[in-house]
Amino acid sequence: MARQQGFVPEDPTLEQKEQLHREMERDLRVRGIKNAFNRGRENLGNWFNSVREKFRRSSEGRKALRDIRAPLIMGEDLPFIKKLFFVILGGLGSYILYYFTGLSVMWCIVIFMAFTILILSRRTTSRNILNIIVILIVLVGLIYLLIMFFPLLQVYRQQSSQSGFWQKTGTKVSDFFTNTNAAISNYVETQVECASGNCPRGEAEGENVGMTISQPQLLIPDKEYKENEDVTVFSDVEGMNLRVYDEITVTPDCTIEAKKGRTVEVNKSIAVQPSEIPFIDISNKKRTIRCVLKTIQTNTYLNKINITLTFPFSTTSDLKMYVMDESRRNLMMKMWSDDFLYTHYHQELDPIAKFNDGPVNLGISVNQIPIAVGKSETPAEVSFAMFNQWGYYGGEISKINDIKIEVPNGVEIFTTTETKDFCPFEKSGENTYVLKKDYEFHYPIKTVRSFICGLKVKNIPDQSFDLWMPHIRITADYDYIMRGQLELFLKQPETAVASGAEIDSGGEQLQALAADCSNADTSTLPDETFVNAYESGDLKDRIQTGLNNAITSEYKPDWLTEAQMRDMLLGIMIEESGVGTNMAKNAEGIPWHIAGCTSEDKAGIPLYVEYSVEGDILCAAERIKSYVRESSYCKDYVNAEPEEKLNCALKTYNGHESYAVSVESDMIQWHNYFCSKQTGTVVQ
Amino acid sequence: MKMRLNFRKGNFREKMKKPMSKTNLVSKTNLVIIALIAICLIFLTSGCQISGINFFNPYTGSEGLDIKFVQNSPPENVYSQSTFGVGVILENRGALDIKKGILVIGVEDFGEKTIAGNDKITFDLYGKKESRTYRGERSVEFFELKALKLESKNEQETTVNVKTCYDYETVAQVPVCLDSTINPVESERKACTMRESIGLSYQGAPVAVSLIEINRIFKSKEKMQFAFTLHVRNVGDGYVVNPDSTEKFCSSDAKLNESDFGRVRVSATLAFKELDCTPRKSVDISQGDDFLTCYTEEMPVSNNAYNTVLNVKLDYGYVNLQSKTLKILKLS
Repeated sequence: MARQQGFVPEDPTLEQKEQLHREMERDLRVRGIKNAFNRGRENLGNWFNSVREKFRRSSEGRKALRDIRAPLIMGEDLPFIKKLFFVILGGLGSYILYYFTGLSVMWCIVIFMAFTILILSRRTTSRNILNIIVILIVLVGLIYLLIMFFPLLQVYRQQSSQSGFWQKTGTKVSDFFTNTNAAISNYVETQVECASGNCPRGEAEGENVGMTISQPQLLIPDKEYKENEDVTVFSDVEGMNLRVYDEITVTPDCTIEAKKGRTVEVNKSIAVQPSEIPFIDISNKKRTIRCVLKTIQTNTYLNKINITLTFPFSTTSDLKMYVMDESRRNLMMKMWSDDFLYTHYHQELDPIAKFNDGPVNLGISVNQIPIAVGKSETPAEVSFAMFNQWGYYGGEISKINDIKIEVPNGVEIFTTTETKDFCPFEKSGENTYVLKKDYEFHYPIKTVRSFICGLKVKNIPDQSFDLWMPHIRITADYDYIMRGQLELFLKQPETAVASGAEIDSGGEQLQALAADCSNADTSTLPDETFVNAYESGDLKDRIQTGLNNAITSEYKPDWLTEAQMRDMLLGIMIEESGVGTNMAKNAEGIPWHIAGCTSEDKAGIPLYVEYSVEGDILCAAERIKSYVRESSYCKDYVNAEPEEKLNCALKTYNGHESYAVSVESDMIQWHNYFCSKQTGTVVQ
Repeated sequence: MKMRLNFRKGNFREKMKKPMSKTNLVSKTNLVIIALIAICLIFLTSGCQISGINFFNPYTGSEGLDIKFVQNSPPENVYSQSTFGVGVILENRGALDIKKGILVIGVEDFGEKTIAGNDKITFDLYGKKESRTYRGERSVEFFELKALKLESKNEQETTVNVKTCYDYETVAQVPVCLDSTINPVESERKACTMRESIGLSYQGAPVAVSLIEINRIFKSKEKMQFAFTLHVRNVGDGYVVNPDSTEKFCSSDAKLNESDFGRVRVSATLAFKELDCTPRKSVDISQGDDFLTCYTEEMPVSNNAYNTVLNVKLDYGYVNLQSKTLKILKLS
């Protein structure tokens, strides 16, 4: 059943709230399972990381990692295949060496196990040695699988779940490789960017915020679209605690793209509704975006439909630093070891940067705790990283507008030969540094971007307290885009219905609906309530907009004239209004929901959405059209007379022959009405 | 009439014979006994017993200076760029006085001057010995701080830190039994029995003498001396510094040396005679504890044992830190 859309940003109804609540609960349950799964994986990973961190923090490790990182970063703008090639040639050897240096303990365990087995066997025959080698290979293989491919599988699974991959059947092999390619690309990108351990993560402060966009859906899911045909899609967007960012507005947009030979043709949307959504409107609420697009002719008959949400966002993160006189720091460390800040100053040893929650996790770290002020030859370094933390939900950073670093008085950042590629900032004020104008990022940023700068404390301000605790603050202004994607397979021309021409009406009912008013009975008119609704009152604009859209767009079947189409929809309107007795009604007593197009929750319970008259009419029209085609319910009537087609469609529409008869009767009444008014066939 | 008289007489006699008269007598006795017991109990519990009286002793406890923030000062939440007060309660919980103690306040800042006025003050506080109560002198110091400016963030945590540096003393008066006999015979009756190891409780200061070991060193048949090994420990929640360098620890620009940490000067007397604690004269308890041996003058060997008092005095500097985290909120 097609989903119904809400076009007007009103507060949700009680039913909608309950539905939202149910979805949130379900989401929490899924997250709970996911979290438990992740925790297990993290426990295993933590051990590896702890060993690897020790290597990273050693002076030898830091030097080695810098050497490794430079050639890898240089290749980041290359296409994936080239990047992989580049990585293999340029630095994969040393990278793997680095990556697995921390795993020496594990190798020891493997070898120890092998020798234990060898000793236990008490026979060092050549066959035993061969067995040991086999065991070793299997163990190594398992370890590689665990470390390398398990995270890949995770990323792949997450990406695929977003694109609905698992829900589809008969997915092509190329999809698998496309998704795997993206997963590997993201994984390699993250590992490359963070190879030297300079990807600190921050901790979100305040309420957690979030946004999701559902996978786009066709207004008529079971219709087969042709090339260059209008197609309507919609998607739901929902935010969590976005009220705090009430000044931000989301701009929805839609595109449809298809490969044409070596190039990709892109069609922008013909219409997007709504054109803007303030954050406050989707704070713990759902809104529907509706787009009309034109399909693209392509050899593969595959069109990709994207619904995107773009919005500007600003993430600010700040970190407490510790600064001390160098000689005093050295003495304190000598007297009380490295953790004197905790034992003697009651300060946290590893401060974490705090940021306002949003699409990006902005982490900052300083490599000296505390930073020494003196004649030291090893300057401190500040590193920070922008993690795309809504990547799982189909988000990415589309553009970084600015990055501002604010440092305390007496502190400056600088670029060294080691950090010049990673510190693209210039001084902009007394204590402020901004991103260089000519610095170019490689968009979109799907994973993480990190930066490293030298940090120098020239002087400690005049204070009596011997430990100075200034803050470094970094603000990133960026545009963020969230994307939902749908693949649409077009109907191939050779299988398309041949006739696009209007078929002359032959049935009695349809003849009655024709523009010819010779057989009109002006004494039998529609109920006054509906006539009033059509002519004036709250529903007038909505009904006429819906009818205009239905009659003049792709929804009108070729075998109906505009007047027949109009009368048919008005007939359905009367019938549906009579059905929905428990729905919200307008001042004239006509239910807002009139055409029977309802959305439904996952349990199959219908959800009646208010104020969607235009959508209801379109929905009814599309159904009538789509039922009469080769692959649908009325496929036997494809070549039948229009009257028979309509009868079948109406019966299928509501499931009862009596319904078709009733609608037919109402259609005749509307025909009489228009004849009595002597109006033309085009609805105003 | 007769009947009535008899009745009356009989009634009177009966009354006299009844245990009632006895009850009255006994209850009077009881009252006296109860009163006596109560007086004794009051007397006993009030500590006025002749033997085993609990006199007030200021040399108890392991605390020196106690630092606390005044309730809601600083408050839990302050608004960006607003001014707020920080109150610090200083209380001398040790036995002896603190003279010319130093207090400095530090706060996380972001390029702006956040402390109005001086961030360093000095203070004097007398101890329990002077106050003759279980609490020494108390004072409250106030500082005015300005919350830093928040721009894009809605809130931020910050920490107010307070540090105190002061010189302090520990005095331990320990009754000891000294026996200068070369070969003591257990059956021989003496004035007291010498213990070679004496464990001590705290002495009303953050640094304490925790153990005293007493050894006899015989130089010849006629000459001997006593050696007292004094174990010293930091029992407070701050850290010990050299009393000559205390001030440096409440200053950000003073140069520190290794010898500025953990040094405690030790002096001891035995019956008003100073013991020889050379060559060290001090212990280093920067890592927790240390010990030092002091010697008496050589004295003649005899068959006597006697009670005397060993007085140990420790001089040191002491540093305490206290901090409180508060939240700065953006005023929207």
